[in-house]
Amino acid sequence: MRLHGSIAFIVGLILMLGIGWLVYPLALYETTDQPLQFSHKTHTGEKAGMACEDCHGFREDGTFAGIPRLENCANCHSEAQGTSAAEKALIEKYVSTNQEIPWLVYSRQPENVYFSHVQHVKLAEIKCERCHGPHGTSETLPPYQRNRISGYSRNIWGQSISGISTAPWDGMKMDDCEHCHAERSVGTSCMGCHK
Amino acid sequence: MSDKMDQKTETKGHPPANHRFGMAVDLDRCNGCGACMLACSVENNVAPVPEKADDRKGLTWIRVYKASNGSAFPEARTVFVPVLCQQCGHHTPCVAVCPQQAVDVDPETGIVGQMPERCLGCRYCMAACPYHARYFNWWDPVWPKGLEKTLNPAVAPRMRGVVEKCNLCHGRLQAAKAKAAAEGSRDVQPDDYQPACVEACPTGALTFGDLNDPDSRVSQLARGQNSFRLLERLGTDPKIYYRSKRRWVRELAERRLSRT
Amino acid sequence: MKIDRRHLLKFMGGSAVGVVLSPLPWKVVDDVSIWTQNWSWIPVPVRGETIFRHTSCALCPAGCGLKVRCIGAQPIALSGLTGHPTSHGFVCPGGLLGHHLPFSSRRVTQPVRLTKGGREAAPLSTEQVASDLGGVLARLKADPAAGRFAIIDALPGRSTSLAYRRLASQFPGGAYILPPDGIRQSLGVFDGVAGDAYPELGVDLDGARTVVSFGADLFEGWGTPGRFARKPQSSDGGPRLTQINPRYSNTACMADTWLPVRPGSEAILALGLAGVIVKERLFNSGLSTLIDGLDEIPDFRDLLAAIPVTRAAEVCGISPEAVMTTAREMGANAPCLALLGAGYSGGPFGEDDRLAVNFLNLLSGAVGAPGGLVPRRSLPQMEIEGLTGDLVPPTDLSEVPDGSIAFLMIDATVPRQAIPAALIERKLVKDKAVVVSFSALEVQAIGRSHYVLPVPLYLEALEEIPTSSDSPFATLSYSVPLVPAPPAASAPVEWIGRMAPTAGLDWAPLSADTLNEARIRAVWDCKRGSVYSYADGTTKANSEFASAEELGTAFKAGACWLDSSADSVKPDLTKSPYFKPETWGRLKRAVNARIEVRSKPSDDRVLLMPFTTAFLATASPLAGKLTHESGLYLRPGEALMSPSTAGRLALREGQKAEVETSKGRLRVRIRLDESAVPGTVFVPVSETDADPRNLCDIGEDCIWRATPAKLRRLDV
Repeated sequence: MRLHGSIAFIVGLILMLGIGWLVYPLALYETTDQPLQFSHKTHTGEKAGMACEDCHGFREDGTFAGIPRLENCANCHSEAQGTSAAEKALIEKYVSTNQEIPWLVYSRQPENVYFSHVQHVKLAEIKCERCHGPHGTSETLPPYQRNRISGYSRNIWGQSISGISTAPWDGMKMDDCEHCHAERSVGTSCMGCHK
Repeated sequence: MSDKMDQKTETKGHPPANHRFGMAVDLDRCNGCGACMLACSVENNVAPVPEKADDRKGLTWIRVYKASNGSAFPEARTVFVPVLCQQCGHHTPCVAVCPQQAVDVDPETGIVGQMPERCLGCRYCMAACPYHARYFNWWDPVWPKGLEKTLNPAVAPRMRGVVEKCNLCHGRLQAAKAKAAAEGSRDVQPDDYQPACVEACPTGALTFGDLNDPDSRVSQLARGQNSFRLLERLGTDPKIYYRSKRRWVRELAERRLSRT
Repeated sequence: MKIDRRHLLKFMGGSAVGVVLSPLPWKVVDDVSIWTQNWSWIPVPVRGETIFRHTSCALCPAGCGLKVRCIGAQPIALSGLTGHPTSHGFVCPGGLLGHHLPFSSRRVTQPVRLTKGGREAAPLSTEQVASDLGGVLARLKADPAAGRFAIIDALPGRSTSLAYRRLASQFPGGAYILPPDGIRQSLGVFDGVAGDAYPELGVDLDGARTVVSFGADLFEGWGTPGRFARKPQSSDGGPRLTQINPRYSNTACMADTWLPVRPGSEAILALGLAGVIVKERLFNSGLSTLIDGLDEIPDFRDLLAAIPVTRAAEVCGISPEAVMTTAREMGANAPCLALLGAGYSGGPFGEDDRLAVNFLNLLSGAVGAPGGLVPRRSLPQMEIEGLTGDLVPPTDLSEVPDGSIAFLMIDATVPRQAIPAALIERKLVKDKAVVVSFSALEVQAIGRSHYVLPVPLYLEALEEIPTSSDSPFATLSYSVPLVPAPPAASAPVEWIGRMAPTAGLDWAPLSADTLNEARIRAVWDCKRGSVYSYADGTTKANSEFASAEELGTAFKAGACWLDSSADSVKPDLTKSPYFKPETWGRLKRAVNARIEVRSKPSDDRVLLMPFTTAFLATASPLAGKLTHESGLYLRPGEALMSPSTAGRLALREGQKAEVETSKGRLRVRIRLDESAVPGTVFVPVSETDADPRNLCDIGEDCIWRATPAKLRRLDV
């Protein structure tokens, strides 16, 4: 009798553990592709030989250009430079119609968050990979996985549903920033990172 | 609280930077035009409240009050007093009472920063603030059609149910720090950081700067003979200094209720 | 094995433990809380690159220099320019909200025709406007007996103004009417004293050391506020200000002395002061011969004798000591500027006030002296291709007979105070007149048939800002287009151009661009003066610009041209009206009539005194911060009065009352202020049908003045 009861308990336990750990992550995220494929490797490689700052640079007042606007791409790609389908789509759909590309931003933070790239890159001398991973050497853009409830990218919480990060760039929540700040004993006030 | 205030930021290999940003208000130069109130609202995306609301439910991070000398005509005189968050030093009442830690004092700058995103709207801080410098969002922000295009991206708009207040234009401080960082420096240039109200004041009644810098204009004015602070006896150690050559104005600041 | 309730409970227990040991509930709570912070109806500011542009403010004739903070192409904030040579970094509350104007709910984007007092608004197409109005004009041209054509300018002295004068000349009896400009009229007393090269005088506020202001709100919108507002207090070496005002205005609050006079008594005070100055010989010693010569004019002697210090003090409601002290201070601190506060609202000061106050300027030697009234050149003459032929001379509204205008065009491109609707209606042919307003914002309907034609708003087009009436030297600047205008919005000359063919006018097609280019070329051609560029704060001589186009480029990036100073000219004061006996006769008659206007404290009469506050761009919802969100300014519908007067009339703070004059009634809510002169109710001027000016006595000179009124409590 007791054994039978325990089986029901164990069945329930394992079922919910399975749902929570395995099914939930699959259901939680909605996957979309970026509007255009883009190969960082091609642009930073031998042929084009660009550096990160050429597209993701700083302005004179210290603000960060972020993901470049169309005119940045159109500087070189007003005419086809190669033969890829992605470039063809770029020119036909966006450059010729002068329409901004609606990129989906993996690291988009809530409106009340203020992050100053220039202070981290120029003063703290942190490399891009520390927070953004090996994105700069990727050949394709990974699909954008959107959390259906909160609306933010999976990159913010981290790949694992547990929230335990596998790499320094896995996870961009407030406590991920706090760990590094605590280590270096910098910027402990709220207003430094919030607006 | 006090040890956090005295702590100098020690970062590896970086010199300690300990500012106390404050303001000096010349009450003899304030003519009650309200330009400061409007410039503040534009800079900080402070929403307009419905017409039916009165001044108890307004959102005015800086608000110009009228006070009179109590005399009858023709000796009646008015003084205009702009009141913003006094940026208390020690024993910041709002920080002490907040159950959410939605407000903190930045040891590097002395600025009392309010985080509406953490606030749960209990309004305990509004009761605690002796200067009535905190404002509650009774309504969601409603901007007339198209006007939301003119909002400032450096400041996040607030939803209803949270308290907001002056943060000495933190958006401008962040921009000044970014500009300094672009030049490889951690020092914010005084010319680069000025709150919107100070910039807008048509008569130059407001002066802003680092009270820890003895040579700055604001320090000199704060130490001046006719300078006073509001409700000094409460011990809040505010960083907003007022001054007036008129004795009745100075005495207003320490008005006590008489016992009958 | 039988599955029973116990199994179910154990299963649920196991599930509960399992769920809690999985991330599901914790993550759901975390995500839901984030979801609750991102409601879709909370606006999200648009991100982009911060770009600074520069412009001059076109919301009033002062033309303050501004720095415009833009995100991409959208202006999001305005601030003053500290180095600007005329505004010195000043921006008024209205100017700070200028970038909100294009989003106003009162925006007019299509031509409309208002009928039935504005209750009906029928939209029209551009073609309909051209044919309808062109037809009306054609009929008017053919039948002048039906009434005259008239056009009221918004800002005289622009290149557009020439086009208007040309238009008016096409109609027999056509009139080109100047808008009310108290500063221009006041300074006009001394027109011609400096010879033909300097037809007008300006006010050297930058150099002033002593100012006696008769109601001139130097800190609130009179002239170019920036010239005075940034100066230190007199105790810190700045100029001394005596403010003569029935109300403790924001300017009175900054003054060294406030003289709370009864409304309408300013001319008498000025003459009382003049009497002391003449008697005690406190006037400029170089003028002895001239002033002694005045004694031969009987009306002059009579007038000054009729207003000794005691009488002046009694009429004004101040002490004789205050009069004496003020007069002696003026004498001791020459040159002393006496300024009259008639602004742009069309009142409350008329010719007698102008003559009386400016006599003080003459006495103190301020005329022609630095820190006083200084000779000023006009903007250089222009030649505009297509604009040749007769030009109707400028006239004042008072010179146009009542009921004579059959077709009125009103240039309302500068959104400042309009002429009171009642006054305009007086000038129109009853029930038949057609009114056309060129405006970007809604206007109050006038007459039977009122067309509103949209024009580009401030920040949507290159707009010319000519010399401000108070300026001591000629200036020119432009407000710069930063946002696109609605497609149907056109400059007034372009609208006129569309009507011209049907109307049969002798009119070459003119565009705003042609006019602007002509003005810039004329300024460049004169080779005089310097150009201050806003972006970098540098000054360059006009002669250093290689071409008119280069000068134009500088203007379009934000710049102002300033004329070089006048050569030292000694004005011939005998050319001023004071040395003509008929002036003193007129003044004596006007003063005798006014000396009787006093409120009697024993009955329910008060003096209705409209007043203007610092210009407020009421088209922005943020203006509410100054009214209902703080009570700093009076809310619409509120009026100010003294507690003693309110007590006499059994009125309390916040109560509703009705003001009644022979012209009509107005409901107000009472606010009490101890610093308001007793016996007066102060009502802010507005451009709605609650405009108190419509209740005032407006004489033949078209000036509204403080008017006796009944004030009755409303028990609603």
